Amino acid sequence: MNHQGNANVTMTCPDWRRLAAARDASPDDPQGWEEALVHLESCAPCRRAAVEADPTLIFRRLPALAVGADEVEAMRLRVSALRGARAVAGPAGRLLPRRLAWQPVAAAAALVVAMLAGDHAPGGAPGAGSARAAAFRAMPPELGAELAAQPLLEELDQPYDHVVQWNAEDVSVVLVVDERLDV
Amino acid sequence: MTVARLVYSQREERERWTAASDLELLEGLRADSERALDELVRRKTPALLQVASRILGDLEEARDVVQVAFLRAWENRARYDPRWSPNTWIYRIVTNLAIDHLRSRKSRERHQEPYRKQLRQVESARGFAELQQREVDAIFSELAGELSEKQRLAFLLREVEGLSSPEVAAVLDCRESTVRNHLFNARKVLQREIRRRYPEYAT
Repeated sequence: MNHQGNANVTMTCPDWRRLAAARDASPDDPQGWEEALVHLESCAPCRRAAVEADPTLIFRRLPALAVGADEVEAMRLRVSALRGARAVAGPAGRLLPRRLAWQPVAAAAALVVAMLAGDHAPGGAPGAGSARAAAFRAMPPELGAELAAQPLLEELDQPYDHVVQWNAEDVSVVLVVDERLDV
Repeated sequence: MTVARLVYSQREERERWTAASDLELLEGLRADSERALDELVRRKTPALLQVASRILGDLEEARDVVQVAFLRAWENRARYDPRWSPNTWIYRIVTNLAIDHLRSRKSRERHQEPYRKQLRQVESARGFAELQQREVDAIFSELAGELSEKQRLAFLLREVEGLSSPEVAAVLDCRESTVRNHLFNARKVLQREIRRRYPEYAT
């Protein structure tokens, strides 16, 4: 026990000068180091003595980053969107800034809106069945199999270049992308 | 021209993954479960953002790195070996990406700008014991620029985040003795710089 004149120390407080000197002399932690750190967590007088002996101890237990539920949910949506975007663009080897990551998804979503608002063909066009089969063949096998098992709400009438599945909170939206539109 | 729309409830599967362990989540990833990835993102984002932001000294860049880390985890899910600690695997992805990002950063002046000026603006005559934790965080961001990549990672993971030495060795893909050497050298640099730049806090 040695706190360099500090009146608040107890007999259980470690000798921080001795411990710090031992740490400065060897890469291996000195005997009793882990126990001293446990003690440090609950002993305010020790904190000052410890930091005086080894200033790097100020960095122990830096405050946790405040990450709210909205930040976590935003991350989940970005990851989901990027995963969908990569289904179009293929794996990328570099970081994709978040503001750019949304562009493929936004473009695909805009296309879907245009499709729903425009060339709507209730009941399906002639030959649509073969077009649907061709579209499934063009998809990744696992996605094609999953989609083929789902009930068909509206018929595709022509094959498309890519199909992207976008997962939101409680729904999955399948975006059919025609890159010939260059959106 | 029409489009097929598929809308179905996935609440049950999401609840299933919420109750899963980390290891079960990664096994779910290996089985191509996107819901397992969703839960992994929910569970690990706070810790990974913290580590990445302390490596990079910038929260915005940390967000970029963490989102790509989750994508890498998904793309490499088949390579995950259940014998590895889930935390070690995901920390390793994040730290590697953060280091790559540091290397590609063209200018680091913004992150090496002395924090002293800001400290003066906050309060000029405050003792070390009263130093606010957020200020210590900023001092770390400044001084960490003096460390090598490995030193910074070893110190951050072991001394700040509290990982064990074997865990740090696994994340950095090196031996424990190497981790101890990185820590030893990192401490010397940080002690020297604290005493030089902030002598009032290290008397």
